[in-house]
Amino acid sequence: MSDFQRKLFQRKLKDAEKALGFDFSEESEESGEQVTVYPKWSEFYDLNEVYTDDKGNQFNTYFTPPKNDKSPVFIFHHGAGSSGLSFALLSRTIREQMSKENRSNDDPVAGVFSFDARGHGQTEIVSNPNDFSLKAFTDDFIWVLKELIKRHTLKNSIFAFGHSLGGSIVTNAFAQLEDAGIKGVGMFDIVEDIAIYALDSMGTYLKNLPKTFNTLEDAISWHIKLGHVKNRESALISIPSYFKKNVKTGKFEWIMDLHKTEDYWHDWFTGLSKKFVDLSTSKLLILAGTDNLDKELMIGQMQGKYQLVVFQDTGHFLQEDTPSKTAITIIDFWRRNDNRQVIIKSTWGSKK
Amino acid sequence: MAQESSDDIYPLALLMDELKHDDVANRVSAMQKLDTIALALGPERTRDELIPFLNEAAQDDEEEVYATLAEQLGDFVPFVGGSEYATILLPVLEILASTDEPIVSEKAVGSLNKVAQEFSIDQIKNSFLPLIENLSDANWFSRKVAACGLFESIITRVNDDIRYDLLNIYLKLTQDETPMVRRPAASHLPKIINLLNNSKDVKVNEKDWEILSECFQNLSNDNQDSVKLLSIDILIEISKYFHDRKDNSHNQELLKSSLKLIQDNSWRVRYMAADRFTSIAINFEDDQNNIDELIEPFSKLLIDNEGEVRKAIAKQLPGFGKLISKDVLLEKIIPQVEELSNDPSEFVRSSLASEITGLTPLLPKEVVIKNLLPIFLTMLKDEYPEVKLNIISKLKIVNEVIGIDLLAQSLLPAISELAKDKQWRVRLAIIEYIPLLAEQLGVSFFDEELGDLVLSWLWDSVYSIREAAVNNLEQLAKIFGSKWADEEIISRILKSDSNSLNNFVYRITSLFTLTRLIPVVDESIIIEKILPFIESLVSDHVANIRFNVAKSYLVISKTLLHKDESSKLSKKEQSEAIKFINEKIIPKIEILKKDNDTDVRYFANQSLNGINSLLESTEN
Amino acid sequence: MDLDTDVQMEDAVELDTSLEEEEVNSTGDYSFNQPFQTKEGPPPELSSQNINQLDEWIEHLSKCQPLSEENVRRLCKMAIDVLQFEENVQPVNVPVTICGDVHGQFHDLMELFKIGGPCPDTNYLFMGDYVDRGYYSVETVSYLVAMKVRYPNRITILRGNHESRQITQVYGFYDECLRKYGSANVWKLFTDLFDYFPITALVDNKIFCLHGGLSPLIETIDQVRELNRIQEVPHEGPMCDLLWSDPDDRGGWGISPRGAGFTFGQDISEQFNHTNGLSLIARAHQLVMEGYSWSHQESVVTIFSAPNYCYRCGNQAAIMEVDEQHSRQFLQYDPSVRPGEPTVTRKTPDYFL
Repeated sequence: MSDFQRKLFQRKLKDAEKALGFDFSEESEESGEQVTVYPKWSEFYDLNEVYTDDKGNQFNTYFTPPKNDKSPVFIFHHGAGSSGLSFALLSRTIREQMSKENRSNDDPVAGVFSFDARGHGQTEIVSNPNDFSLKAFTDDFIWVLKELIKRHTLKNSIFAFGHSLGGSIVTNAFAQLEDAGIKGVGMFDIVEDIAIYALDSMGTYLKNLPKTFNTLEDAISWHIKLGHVKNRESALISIPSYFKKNVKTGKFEWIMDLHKTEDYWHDWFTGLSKKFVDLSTSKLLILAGTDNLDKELMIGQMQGKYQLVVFQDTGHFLQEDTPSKTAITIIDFWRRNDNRQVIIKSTWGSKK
Repeated sequence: MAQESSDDIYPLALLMDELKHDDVANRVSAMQKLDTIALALGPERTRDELIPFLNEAAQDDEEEVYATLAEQLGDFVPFVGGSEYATILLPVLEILASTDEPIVSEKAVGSLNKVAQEFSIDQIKNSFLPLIENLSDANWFSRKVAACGLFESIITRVNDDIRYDLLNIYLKLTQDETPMVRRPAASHLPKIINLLNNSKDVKVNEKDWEILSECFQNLSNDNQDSVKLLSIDILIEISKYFHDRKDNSHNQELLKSSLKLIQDNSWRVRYMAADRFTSIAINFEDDQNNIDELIEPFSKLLIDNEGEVRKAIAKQLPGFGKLISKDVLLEKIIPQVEELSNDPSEFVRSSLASEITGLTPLLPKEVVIKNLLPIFLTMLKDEYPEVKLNIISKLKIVNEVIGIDLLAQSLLPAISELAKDKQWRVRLAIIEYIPLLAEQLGVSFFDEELGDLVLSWLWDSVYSIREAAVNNLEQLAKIFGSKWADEEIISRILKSDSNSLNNFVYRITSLFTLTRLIPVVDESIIIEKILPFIESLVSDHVANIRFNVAKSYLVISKTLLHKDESSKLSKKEQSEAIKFINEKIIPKIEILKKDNDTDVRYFANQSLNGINSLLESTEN
Repeated sequence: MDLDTDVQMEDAVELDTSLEEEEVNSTGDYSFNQPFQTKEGPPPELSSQNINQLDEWIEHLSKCQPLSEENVRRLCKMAIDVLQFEENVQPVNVPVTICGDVHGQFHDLMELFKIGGPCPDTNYLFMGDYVDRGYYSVETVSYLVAMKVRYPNRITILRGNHESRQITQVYGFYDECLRKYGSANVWKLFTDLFDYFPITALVDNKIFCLHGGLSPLIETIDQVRELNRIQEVPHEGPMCDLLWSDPDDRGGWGISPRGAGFTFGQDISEQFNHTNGLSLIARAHQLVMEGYSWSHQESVVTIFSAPNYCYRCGNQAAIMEVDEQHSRQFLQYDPSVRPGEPTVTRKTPDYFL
């Protein structure tokens, strides 16, 4: 059913209600054109640095340093077609949540870091810019992470989380990063079998994707209307970063053309579930909707190999739709799994 | 409307209110109450207020809510005042049928067909036809999909001209540019042809056939496999139409089309053809030359590259085998069957195993023995249990052809193997076959070959095997008699060493076996052998044994009083039996009635009540 | 209301799955020494009317047909009357057949009885996780509870971590109740009943049985007896650990990757068995491909009774028979044969997808 029909119907229903003396409406819809003020990155992060590697690739990063050495640093990697700012609201929420829980001044408040992956956002890749293999993404991620640690001389516990394709990247990177102090890995809404199954319909999806939008507001409401992002507050900071304005036409175009990545889709996900379950670190999997696990993940979960959390009331971009719940889950995951924090107290022997 | 009193608008307002509920389940149940609301409003207001409201309401909600609405409306003709007003339901059903939610659309199409049954010819002409035309002509594919489902309710009710128009509309649907429309157009066509075939009122003419044949040609040459494979069912219905009328004049054409589809490049089309092979072939049964032309393609499917195709065609062996000569079956097909019994895919072998025994009645006994039996024996050794099970479960047909003697002889080595099969269901299938074998083999041959085996199943680790073994022994005792049962079963069980008897499963299985034999052995054996064993378990330390002892006592009493038998006891025998029960059995049950376990007390009471009513009925 | 069981329903609840715990290492007050809510002494005997009713329900359920909501209400009330008399460490006699997770795989539960023998002729001890993930959680848990009420001495049903309000809202039981009954009432009745399930059992003073594993806060079986079990499964603390922990190859205590409970090493298991005079800890909770698996040099055994778990894992199931001499026999089995039901692993032509 088209949205036009829906709207038409809603209006008619309201008219009918008024005629019958009912009026259930809570908000009036047509309140005229609203003027949106888009938030800036600086409302979410302290630093927006560009990391340039020796090949001249420039990675656009966002970072708020940890409060002290006891604080962990959470690293986030976005999925295909998104950007580092997809984690903006989550990052701020995590820090707010931890500050709220603080009882004294030296209690921890996490550092939060995200960046635009190759082809996305404001990152500029000059060497092999059309290489979208899992290896290329993984190498970038490892370099960026090491650069972050070096620049800010971090000694903190690090936890890496990735959304969708980002989950595959952080999982793939972990094996090569054990010396970087990664204490845990998390994936947001990615299951190998489901992803590969969904690839079949990706072509149709991309075909139906509008090529341009007249305004950013159009782009935002398109995302919200299709349920890609349900939380407008997050959409206001994340969605604009996916677009660039074409100066000739005045229209907004996607920065990332996902068609260019088509050859790599299977490469991104094949073998992911087994790789994740076999990681020799603490693992968190957050799924949106249902616990639709594939065989490897199901066996792993039933053998207690990782922590599974299901958010039922959220869409695929769970870090944007439900930032508080995601923040609480991440903080809890850190508390349980950071060996600098945890001492298991046993009462054994005390009663003899 | 606003001036009416609130009482009057109550049902409608209530519905609107409930349709606003946050919970989908509530909105669904509101829709389910639609008939009540219509009843309360009466026909006139249902037409004037409820239906217009639904026309608008039918445009924004979850599919469950609309599926319910669409289904409800199918029964709405009486609520709007009967068939003369029924066309008022069309607009809302049209909206629902046009949605792209398949559940809603299907339900709406179903209801439209239901409502159309009530229409007069005029209503069909003036309302239903335009609806079909409208939907078929739409830009939006879901409307055309809905249209495809609507022809069947009226195709046999309209006159020749309208039917011709309808078929022309249908032809356009089969030529639609999107496969989403051609697919339902293909899947509804068999039903339409079937209706035309079976209708007494309709005479399908040349003009009609031209169109129908064009529809079929379009669909069977479709560039989408998923459409093309549906044309096989259309072909079957067309062939059936002429076969039913003994009209062979189109056979060449039809056969050509069949052969083309059977040998299609796409395995999905071949799969469909293989799956329906007998249905395709049977329409050519009047002309053996036509059937013969199908033999080669059938053979090819048996060695198709795609396992799914071989799996499907294996199931058609008996069906197609009936249509061809014994010689061809033997010379051409049977060698291929032998190949297929060694197919690399276990699903193909399993599929073959489930049907292959169906070939035995089609062939002479010697041929079955020489050519088929070895294949059965190979398949009985298959590594995949389902293959073995499928053969075992159909052995009866083979038995009828070659006789149990021969079957048993060739089977015995296989049985000893299968009796130890890893899969307990295979063991079970074999056990269940034993009584039939026993009857044919005779006691001495049986004891020699199978005597130890039937007893060993009692101590299987799987309960169901032990249970089947007990059943089996009861059957064998009936066949071979009381003396055999005593020597071969009872005495051997009673000789069990104390070590075995320490084991609970051993004791309870012994108890089950002996209890089951009570009704089929001589009274002296019951009293001298079985009863003492049961008595020894009255004080068993496991409650489960004790309450089964209580149950056994009821069986003994029933048997001693000849309750299940035709031969009646003499008065003297009767009073002896009663005395025996009172002295030897009831005191034991009294002990069990005071047991500290509630289940033992319960079953002791049950048995005591049972015995008391037996005694009462005997004494009277 | 009868709804088709195959219809997908929307998630009907908002659920906060975050664990709002403070620190994993804080011991806090775990309601030791609180007044018991369980009752002592034997439960009242069933009336013959109730026995007939129960036999009827069991017959009905054995065909995989759910009871009406009203009958579930009556069944749960009768079950509380039985379960509130059971102890936190419910004593169980030999012989007994010990079983692990079932997870709503009703037909496989029937297969289990075909392998192990029907109850009441065979005594059973189930170690929890009757609901969630499988398609027939309602029928499975109704059947086991009905058997429990009918033959309280013949069958023992412990609580698993899935017998909880929070977990069942995520993993299927809640949705299944909603689908099959049109409301959450039956879910509420059962989850309220779950609070009464005993959390551990002791077979002939030698085999300690529980769903998950050991707790750093429980050194002796007597300490289990002191817990107040009649409550929702907590996020942490000894009762949580007993339902959530796993044995591990590493020694000592460890943080559980699951996010609840702990891992415990061979040193811990051996010490626990020694302190409590045990020969074995039997537990479920983890999928093991062969259906059972020894750990810690045979001081712990894991038993898992849901074959081809969730219709996709390809594992065998097992049960463990313990006889009067305490010798153990494992019986392994595969999924029941259900003609007509799709098998996930088999290739099917996809033209009807």
